[in-house]
Amino acid sequence: MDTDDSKSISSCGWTETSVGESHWRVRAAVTALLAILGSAALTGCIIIPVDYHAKGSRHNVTMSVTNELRAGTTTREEVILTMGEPDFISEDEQRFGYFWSKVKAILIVASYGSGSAAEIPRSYLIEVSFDQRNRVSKVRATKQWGDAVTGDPEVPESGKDVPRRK
Amino acid sequence: MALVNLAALFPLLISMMLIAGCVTPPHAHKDLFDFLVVGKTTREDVLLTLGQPSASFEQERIFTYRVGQYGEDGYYIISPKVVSPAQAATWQDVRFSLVIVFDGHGRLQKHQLVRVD
Repeated sequence: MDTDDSKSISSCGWTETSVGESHWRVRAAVTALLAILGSAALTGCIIIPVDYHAKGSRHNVTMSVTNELRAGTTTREEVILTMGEPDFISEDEQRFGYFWSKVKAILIVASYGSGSAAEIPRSYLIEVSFDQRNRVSKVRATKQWGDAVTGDPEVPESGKDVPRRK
Repeated sequence: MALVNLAALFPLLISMMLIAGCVTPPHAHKDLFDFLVVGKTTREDVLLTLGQPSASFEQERIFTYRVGQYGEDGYYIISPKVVSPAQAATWQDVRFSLVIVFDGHGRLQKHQLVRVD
């Protein structure tokens, strides 16, 4: 009868270790795994996909509107009657911007005793340009993550095409 | 004694003012747009009744107003006054964009209540 704790398992490709040492290593690995999982759970991060309009955003304009605007045919008057007051108007009224924002996901970060949530918005802009006959000459749709559409020199920005109010 | 009473009343007055500010309904009217008659209503009538538009286009041939709705009480015009350009982008409390188009003589040609919310 073999009473020795040491067991050769080198035939299986393992290194030769004592049973006590092996147990210690397994225990250490399990402890480390539990610590990692526990940390992940305690500083939990969940992303919930949603789809709703951001607070204060207009709801009546969608990307499909671009299919209804015909270059050379649709007039400025028809655009306003269909979509309402634009969000951005160039000084010469040759460019309108219709802007809306939707929340596409909610990020929840939870930790022990506290937590926070943040909306992840996606912004949309339809830019309509008019010719001298007050007819649509160009329609451009832009979408971008975040609560503003920026980064393109042609996209209305604060100080360029500011919302013109009387 | 009078000073003590005023001091005691002050928080109460502030609270009442805050509560009143929160619950004061806008002056909504069901018949707010009944005066709009195609071919008859003039630009002046519109300005006198609805006030300054939120935007105008093509040499004041087209006016737009931001309109709110207070339950069954009717419609009300949302002030076009804007503190900052960023604020203009918000459509909070706005339910409709009223579009008014005048003809060459300054009379109402057509109008449309575009729902925006």
